[in-house]
Parts: sequence; C-alpha cells; structure tokens
Amino acid sequence: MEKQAQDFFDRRIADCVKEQKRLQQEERRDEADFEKIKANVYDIFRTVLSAAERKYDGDGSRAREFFAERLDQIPAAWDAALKKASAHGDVRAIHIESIKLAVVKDIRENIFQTGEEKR
Amino acid sequence: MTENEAIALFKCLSDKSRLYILKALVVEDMYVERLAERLDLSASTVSFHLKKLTEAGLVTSARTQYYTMYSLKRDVLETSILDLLKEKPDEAAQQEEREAKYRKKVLDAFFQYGKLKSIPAQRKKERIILEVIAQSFAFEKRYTEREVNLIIADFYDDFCTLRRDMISEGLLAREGSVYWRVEER
Repeated sequence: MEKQAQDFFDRRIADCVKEQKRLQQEERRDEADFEKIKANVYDIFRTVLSAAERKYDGDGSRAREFFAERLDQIPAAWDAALKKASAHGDVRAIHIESIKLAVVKDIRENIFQTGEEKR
Repeated sequence: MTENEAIALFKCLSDKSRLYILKALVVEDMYVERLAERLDLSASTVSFHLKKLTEAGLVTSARTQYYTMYSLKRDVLETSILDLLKEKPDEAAQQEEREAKYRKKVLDAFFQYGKLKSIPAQRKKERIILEVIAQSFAFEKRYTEREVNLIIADFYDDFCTLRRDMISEGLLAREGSVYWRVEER
C-alpha cells in the first residue's frame, strides 16, 4: 500500500496546487484558498502515513491499522464542527468543513482500494 | 455608503465567480442549485459566494415555497463610482465605524455560535463581551443570584467571575442578593 499511497497523496496535492494556481490567475481567490485547504488535508494524511510507516517499519498491516484509526479520529472534530456550523447556518464554516470531509472521503475510497489491489 | 462599505463592496466584486453570479442575477432571480448548474460550481461554493455578496449589500434573498431566491440589490449597483468618490468623509461616522469594526473583531474572536470561548485578558475587550451578556438582562427586572448565574451560564461556565466583573464594570448592580441591570451612561 505504502508506495502507491504516497503516490496517491503526491498526485492529489500536485493537482490541488495546480488548480489553486489556475484559480488565482482567474481571480477566484476564495476558491483558490479552498484548494489550498484540500492540499493541506491531503498533506496531513500523507504525514500520518509516513509516521505509520516509520512506527511499524516492515509491518504493513499494523501501519495500515494505525493509518485507518487516524483517518477516523482526525476528521471527527471536522464532522462535529460541520454539525455545529449547520445548526447555526454558518455558511463559510459549512463549506470549509465539507471540503475537508470530502477529501477524507476521497482518501478513504482510494487509499484502501490501493491497499486491496496490492494484496 | 461609507468608505469602508465601499472598500468591502469592491473587494467582494474582485472575484470572477462572484462577478459571474451577479451577471446571472442581472438576467433573473435564481436559487443556489440553478446558479451552481449554470456556473459549473458546487452548490456550497455558490452559497459561500452568495453569503459574501449579501454581506456586501449586493444581493438579497427571499424564501419562496421551495427555494430561497436570490436577487440583485439594484439600488446599490446603480450607485456610480463618481458618486462614491464625491462623498465627503464623515469623521464621526468613521470613528463609529472603526469602533464597530473593533467590537465585531472582539466578538468574533471570543464568541462562537453565541457561546463565550474564554474571558478576554484585556479589560477593554472584556467590557465588550460583558456588554453583550448584559443585553440578556431586562432593565426593569430584579433578579436573584441564581437567575443571574443561569443567564450568564448560558454564555460561559465560569459565571461567578463574569457576574463579579459585570458588577465592577457597572453593568449590573447588587443589593443583598438582588441584582438589576444598570442603565448605560
């Protein structure tokens, strides 16, 4: 999983950065900022993956387990923030938390698929 | 329109997506999903931009049976840039605006969804948050200490500190165990 997963994160981050630049050039600065948020979330989980690999060097299944736990834990606060924002009609916060959770969904769908394929 | 309002308006306009939303609304009033489809943006992105446009006073919304419809505030858009430039700065209004801006900044920093996050260390900032809490007290009513605590606890758990500070700031007065809101000078 690890090499493919790192490639997945690298690709996604590069796509976000590219899109961010395009949006900046088009004078869509807020949307460019949203791409930056997406890139940051991918980067957080890329770091988590690296940490998992270092911690469980050679033990892929434990590293995967560690990563999966963090993939549930970290977004829990974003999910709570989204619920709170929705209850208060805070459009900006709703949008930002939704973006972060959409990235998590993308990671969940792709990273485990990558792992499954390898196995 | 004050200078700050004009600046906020121009800042809001300096975004291609928002400009396209306004262009679409020139033709007809629309709801979020329709705008999203037309501009190839997600509905939440459109909502985000509409919120900014509404705050800048460029757009207004009205609920219909099924949707919230957005429309242009044509009177604002009909203001000419020359009219804005000709407007003389009103010192008192500017001062008032600066104070309101500072107040908003403090409230945004210390309140989230109506709850106080922490008590400001600076007295000036704490005064602002205490004034907001004081608005929950009626002028003509007398309160028991328990009632005062319950009202303050709706904002923050440490109601004792806030209650004492409201007394020392002259926002609440106390005699024995009876409290009341003090008229602002």
